Amino acid sequence: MTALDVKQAHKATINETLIESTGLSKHYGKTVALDGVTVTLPNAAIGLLGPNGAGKSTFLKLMLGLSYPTSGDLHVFGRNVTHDPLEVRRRIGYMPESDCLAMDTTAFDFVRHMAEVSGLPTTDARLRAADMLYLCGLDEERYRMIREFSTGMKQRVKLAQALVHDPDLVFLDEPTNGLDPSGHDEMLNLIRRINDELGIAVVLSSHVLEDIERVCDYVMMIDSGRLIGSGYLKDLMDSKQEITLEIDGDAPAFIRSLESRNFVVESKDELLQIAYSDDDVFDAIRDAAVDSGAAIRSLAARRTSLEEFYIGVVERSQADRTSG
Amino acid sequence: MRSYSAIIYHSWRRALGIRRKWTAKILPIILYSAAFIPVIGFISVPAIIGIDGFRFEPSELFSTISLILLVFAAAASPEMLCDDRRENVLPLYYSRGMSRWDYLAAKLLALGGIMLSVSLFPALLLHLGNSFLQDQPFHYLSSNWEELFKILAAALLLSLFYAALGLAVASMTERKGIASAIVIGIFLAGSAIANGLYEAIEQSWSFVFALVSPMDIPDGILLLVFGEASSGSLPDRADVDGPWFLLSVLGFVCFSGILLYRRYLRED
Repeated sequence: MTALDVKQAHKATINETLIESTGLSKHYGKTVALDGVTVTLPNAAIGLLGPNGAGKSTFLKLMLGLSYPTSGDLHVFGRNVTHDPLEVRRRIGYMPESDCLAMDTTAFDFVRHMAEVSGLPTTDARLRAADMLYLCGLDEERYRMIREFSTGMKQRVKLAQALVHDPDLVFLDEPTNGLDPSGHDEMLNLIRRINDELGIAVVLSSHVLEDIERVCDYVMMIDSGRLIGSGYLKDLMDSKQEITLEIDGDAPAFIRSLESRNFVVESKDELLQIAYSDDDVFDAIRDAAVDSGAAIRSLAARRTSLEEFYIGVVERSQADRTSG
Repeated sequence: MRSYSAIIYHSWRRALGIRRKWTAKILPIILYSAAFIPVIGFISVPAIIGIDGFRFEPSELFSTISLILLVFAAAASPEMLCDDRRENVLPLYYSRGMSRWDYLAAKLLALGGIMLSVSLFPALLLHLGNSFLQDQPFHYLSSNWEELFKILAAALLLSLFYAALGLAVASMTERKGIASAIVIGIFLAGSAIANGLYEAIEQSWSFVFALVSPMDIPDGILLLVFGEASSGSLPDRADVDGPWFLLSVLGFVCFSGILLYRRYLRED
């Protein structure tokens, strides 16, 4: 059995729940950074979404055991992070948002050093450092001083050091910050590969909704320290699909026919908008057209973007807070 | 243990300028030379001109080496801590399977190790050299075995004292030059103030100034271990018993520990 087989077998036995928090709160004096967050996150690519100052970095610090919760429990890999931080951290890789690289050293030396600090023997550390720098696209430049690197190359070194000790879970805090469009695209592809090909669970913290939408399977949304939503991205998006229709004929009869089939129809500028969650809607539209004698001139199905969904959730959360 | 050895090795590389540009190697080379060349001279000159039974006292060597240790602590301790803080590498260390305490203990071992290499090895070399200058070297070694323990004790206490104080000062700033200047400044100013107060206040308790004077603590350690301090030094003038300096060293180490705790170990 190869090392890869062992790892895959190990991953297959991992409990599907990766992270579980119950009533998790963190206060800094009078400032509430996290407020009673209760969430269960699966073993997947997870997006941690929220505006700046929402509490994402605090949640990451708590998961790493770098900070203690004011109240509540937090379990990662089934272990209580407050009681057993070192055991949890051994299985985690972390790529911070801010600069964190030793400038006066080569990329290879730095990543190898981090591998050794993680407990790898010298020979293994050298091999893993070379492998991870290759994976992150820094094979040619690995013996160059980090101070000579561009922002994109530094981000790759940060990612390589987070992966070098073969973690089961990696926390990526704003990994695309400061990258040009092509570097941004490559970084997202790389993150997706880490999850798909290496089988490493990813928690991607970002305020860029497109990044989360492109890379993650599951999303957790925080605003002002409170959990405002979580779920598989596919489920969240599917629950908010919409069809725009343009018809000729008896529009009121067409609408009545659809409403009798339990669909919500909105009329806007001669266009009809129908919210739906599954493909039955297309049969209903056909039947409504037959019943009302209307002709369908155009039909466009559209999924709600994560941005629209997120804005909706944030607005509802803010309205709840105002009324509450 | 691999985490410890990785941090210690990395710290040594930085402090000694290994695999760094040549300017980073100059000071370590000068300081090691200053520690070893006199010892080689003390041994080789009597051997060449044929003075039998010559013996250079290890306590006198330590008195000289303590100045080299001060400069080494001022130069090496900022190399150990300041870059990690300025370059924000600490979150990467802390996010691995090691605690803040592990990091700090590894740094203390790293700096203590360098200090020990400067204090212990020249003294051991001197002891060995002294034995070969005698008519019966092996008899000299066996009849002076307790000297080895004294050398080891003095080297350990001096290394611990300089390493703890150096790290505590270096933890206060991210700028290496400033940290080095503060280390030297604390030793010079602290000693000047303590000596001045000792001369100005002639009381039965004035000996405590000898216990808090950083430049005089090494002499106090030699008084504790070898039973003699440099002539004219504050411990010599104040007529303090040696064991007081053990308390003094422990006090400085505890004080440094509190500063390091506040800077590194306290969560949030």
